[in-house]
Amino acid sequence: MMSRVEGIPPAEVRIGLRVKARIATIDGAPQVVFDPA
Amino acid sequence: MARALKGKVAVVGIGTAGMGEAPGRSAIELLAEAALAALDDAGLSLAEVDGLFAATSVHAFPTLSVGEYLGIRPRFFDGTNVGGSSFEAHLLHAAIALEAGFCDVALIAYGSNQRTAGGKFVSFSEPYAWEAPYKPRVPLTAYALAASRHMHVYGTTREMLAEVAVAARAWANLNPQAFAKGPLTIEDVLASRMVSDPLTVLDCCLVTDGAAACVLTRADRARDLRKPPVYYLGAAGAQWHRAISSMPDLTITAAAESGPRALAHAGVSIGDVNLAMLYDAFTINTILFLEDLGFCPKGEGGRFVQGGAIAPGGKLAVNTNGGGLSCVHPGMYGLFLIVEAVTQLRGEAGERQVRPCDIALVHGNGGALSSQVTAILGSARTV
Repeated sequence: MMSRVEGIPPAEVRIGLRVKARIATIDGAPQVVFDPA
Repeated sequence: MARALKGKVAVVGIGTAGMGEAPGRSAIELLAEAALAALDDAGLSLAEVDGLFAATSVHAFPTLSVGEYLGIRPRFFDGTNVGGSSFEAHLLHAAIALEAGFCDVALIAYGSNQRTAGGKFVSFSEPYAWEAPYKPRVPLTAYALAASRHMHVYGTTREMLAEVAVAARAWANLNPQAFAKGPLTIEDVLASRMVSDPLTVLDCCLVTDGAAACVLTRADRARDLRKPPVYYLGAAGAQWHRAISSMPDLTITAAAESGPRALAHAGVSIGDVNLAMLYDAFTINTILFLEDLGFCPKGEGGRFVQGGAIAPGGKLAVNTNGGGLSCVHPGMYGLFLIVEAVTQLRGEAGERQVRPCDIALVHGNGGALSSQVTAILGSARTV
């Protein structure tokens, strides 16, 4: 799936980073995004 | 069965127009200029064209628009659009149509004025519902994801990616038609503007104007035309996904299927290939296709290109026109791969001529590493 990691500078996102899913509202619709765990 | 097409048809004419910048000319005007140049190269007239193959970024019904503009009434036509690989697919479809007698003179043509018309990548690709909310920079994001994964799994480095751009520039410096010229180092690529991590602007193809065309006939007629025929030996396409988020493995493209099938149809092995024309929309493409087509093992593409291995004088001639990275990339680039392969197989490439050059592998890519179409072309010595 495509999503994105929020709550962290983009340059610090790494493959293997532990994350936790969250339902965010994007353009008025619910979408899955991730935060660092 | 598909092998029955080997040597039965040939490319007899090639043409280009508006390479780089062509201010004031429309996409279809450029396409028509290239078509007429290709027909002149073959010594054929527009009135003889009865098979028309076209795809563009700006025409919903390309064979209708192109046929009308050229004033022809083709009895066979195909507007298959699989992005930049459309023209390798057209090559296969034209070979089938010619051999089956559906047409006698096939014209494949493309044109774009995307640079002078706006300077941005032009695409009418529909947004993908499961990706669009996250606002990916299409197609950049897709290729950056593949590059990141390749680096993570196989230890490929940004320096290895940069080596692909440096090799392309070295070839472009030998090509009078190339748009981007001048010295380029690995350090230059690494230091250029980051546009989608890990890809810098110099890891990305050019945004140019340009048009290209080629003409095919059956082999019996090809022998009597103006230029030495370049024979169709085999071709195959494969597609495993549409959107990058549906790609089964970000490091393996469907070239792993299209390449072996095309080689089998042609009855040649990868070691027989003198020239590899690989669709290099981004530096990661060349590395992925070198692996998936079998020039090196999976994961070794980055190390394969190091030390100038695909630059002039290297161990494998790759993208000798300078590629999409440094020669020309007007939205969809696949037809320019064919033009360069034919130029090389005829021995008309001047300072960048590959010797010997009897078998060329042409590999088109479309979408987000989605459509993969491989074609094998050969000189008269191969049939």
